[in-house]
Amino acid sequence: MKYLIGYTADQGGREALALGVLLARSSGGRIVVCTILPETWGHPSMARVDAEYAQFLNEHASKSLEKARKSVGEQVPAEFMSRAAPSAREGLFSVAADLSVDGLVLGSARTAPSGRFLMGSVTASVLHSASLPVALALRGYAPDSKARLSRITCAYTGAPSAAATVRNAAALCEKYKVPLRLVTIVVRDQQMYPTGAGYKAENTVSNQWRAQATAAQKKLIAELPPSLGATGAIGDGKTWKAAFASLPWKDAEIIAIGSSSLGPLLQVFLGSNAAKIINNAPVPCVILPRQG
Amino acid sequence: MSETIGFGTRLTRRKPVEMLVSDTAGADAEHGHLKRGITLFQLIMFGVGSTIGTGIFFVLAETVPKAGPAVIVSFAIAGVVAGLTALCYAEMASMIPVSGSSYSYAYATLGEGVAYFVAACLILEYGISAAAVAVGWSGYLNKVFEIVFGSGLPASLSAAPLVSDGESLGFGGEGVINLPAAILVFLCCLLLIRGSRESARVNAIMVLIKMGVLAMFILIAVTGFSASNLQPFAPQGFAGVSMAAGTIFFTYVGLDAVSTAGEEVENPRRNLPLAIITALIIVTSLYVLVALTALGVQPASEFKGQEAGLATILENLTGSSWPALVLAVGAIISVFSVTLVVLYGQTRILFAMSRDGMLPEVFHRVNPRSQSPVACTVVVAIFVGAIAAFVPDAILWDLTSMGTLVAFAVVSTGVIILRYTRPDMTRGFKVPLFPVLPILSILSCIYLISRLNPAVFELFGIWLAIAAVFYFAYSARNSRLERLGALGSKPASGS
Repeated sequence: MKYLIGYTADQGGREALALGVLLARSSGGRIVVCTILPETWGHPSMARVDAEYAQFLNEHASKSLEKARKSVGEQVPAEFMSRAAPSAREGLFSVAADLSVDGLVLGSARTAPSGRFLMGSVTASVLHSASLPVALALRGYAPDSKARLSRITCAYTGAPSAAATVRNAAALCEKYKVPLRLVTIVVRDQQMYPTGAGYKAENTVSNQWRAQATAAQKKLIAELPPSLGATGAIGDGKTWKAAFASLPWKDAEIIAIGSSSLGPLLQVFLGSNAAKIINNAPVPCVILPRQG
Repeated sequence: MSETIGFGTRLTRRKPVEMLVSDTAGADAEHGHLKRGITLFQLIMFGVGSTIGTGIFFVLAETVPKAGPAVIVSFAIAGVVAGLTALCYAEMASMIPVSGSSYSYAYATLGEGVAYFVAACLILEYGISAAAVAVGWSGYLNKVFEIVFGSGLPASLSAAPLVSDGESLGFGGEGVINLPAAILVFLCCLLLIRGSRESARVNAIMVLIKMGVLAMFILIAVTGFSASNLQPFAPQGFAGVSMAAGTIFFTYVGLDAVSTAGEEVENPRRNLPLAIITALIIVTSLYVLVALTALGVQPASEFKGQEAGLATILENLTGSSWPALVLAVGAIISVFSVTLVVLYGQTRILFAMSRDGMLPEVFHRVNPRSQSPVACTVVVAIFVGAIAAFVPDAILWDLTSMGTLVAFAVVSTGVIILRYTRPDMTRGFKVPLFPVLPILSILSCIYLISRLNPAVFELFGIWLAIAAVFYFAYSARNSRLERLGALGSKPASGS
């Protein structure tokens, strides 16, 4: 497996690098660390300001890549490069296509609270058009330098389109040789009141949803190969954050989520529930492109 | 299924309280451990908020022609009956350690048959009143169109094709469809499908808007007060007054929501009756003041058929359109929220029934994406929308009153029966003046029912017949308790 890491010389870049190294180590794969530079004007200009600027960018890129090289060390096979492109998204996509990588790894926006992810502008544009799985590193993500992926949790909605996501996640589990866990989130919305249906009417709906999701998980797990060791769990809470907190998480675990079924085929397209998951999950997310 | 269970057993089997508790358990594992978080003030506000707005904006046009200026007495009578029933309901609610609907309380205490009957009435209280409120909303929307654009929607698009002459229902209205009412119902259902909830905060804002526009109405209308309009006070005598009271009972629907809070309230023994009575006094005073000032402005004969009544009265009185516009817009906003809340209640009651096996499974299927019961909401939208589009409001009000009054007469009877059959059950709240108050409640309900529009009796009878056929053909056999019984574990008598 070859992972393309969208690298910047800041904390977000370092965290993306850490996640990419973890994934490569766990799958016996390699990483490509790439810094995207702004494209400069290709023609000579007066006083060569453009060339000077390009030179500055190149120096900046090689300096930051040098830092990355040091931090990766001998952990996994790695190559380092920079590419000039009109936008970070286009740059990443063109490198990904040229080197035929298997996945993209990106970091969080700098304003995210520690241990959570917040989408920056690059991630947002990538997540709405990538045709590769995209992994997102949390703020402050620093796995152990020898850690290997321990488990893949797949966010499962119970909708018919979600079965395809689970199969994708199961394929990932086989590659990494880790167990699969299906997780369905039950968010107990605010009760609307006052009504004669009682002050706990919404809990009845949530409990029913819980029962329904548990049944759907069981059914799907029975269809998966037993060698996967798939399990199911329900995250239940008042908010998305509380629901995630109600679940046990392992070190070096990731959560795989599917793309919205409203998006184009074979592309990542973030749905509203997926957006809530990536903003609240306590482990890095991998967003899988939509399959069939 | 086992044929050994007779219908007698089926009708009287009770849902175990533990089942009720686990159905409504929250996310934290502390089942049964309840936080008493609602204060007296909050509870009063719930009561006022859920009651006001369901009818005062529309009901005068229907009731003043019946009672004359004595309609203010009708308001007081309906208020007292509402208070009596709410107190009885509070006792039954306090016997069960979780908050539910009167259907679930009846199921745990009085048995499946009574619970099913109460649920059939609740569908009238919620489903039909949602339609009624939507029709009233349509009137105010039309008023805004008239003020802003100079002309309203044509009658063919804003009135029901069915009309009632007081005795029977028949075609012949000038309308084809009440489009705005149907659209409102569908908009609300769209919000419910998306999983939107009206929070306590939005609800509080809506209460303020409602009370604000009603206060504005009172303050402006009082300037045009002329005591001569109150003569003759009761042209049709007490007969007219009590007929109007039956219809007006509809405007107190929602007060019962206070009763379901029993387990969430601090010191329910003191706070429940206090909240019910205080909310009732606030609501009744506001209603009476609105009615009184409206009657002071125009003679009783002018009320008949007045759509968007309060706004029209202001317009006629002030000669300028802006006070009427403010009132109409306030009514549109707050009645929208009432429709949303009432439809929500209806979907959740059907949901609970379906979970108990009383209705087909589709009613409790939760959509994975929105985590809300989408199919149930769509079915409710179609039925309520159709009723709002084609049935006149006078029938809807009386039908709502009918369902509510019957349900509460049953609950009050249940309170008396349970005092004798289940004296051991703990009651968080007990009705004061024991046999007198519930008996008064039952008698007054029956009296108001007897004064309702005769056409409504026919509809109610048809509805009950349909419900009964469905019960014996489907619900009795598919009840969740049937499976428990088949397994040999007789449902424990909850206590």
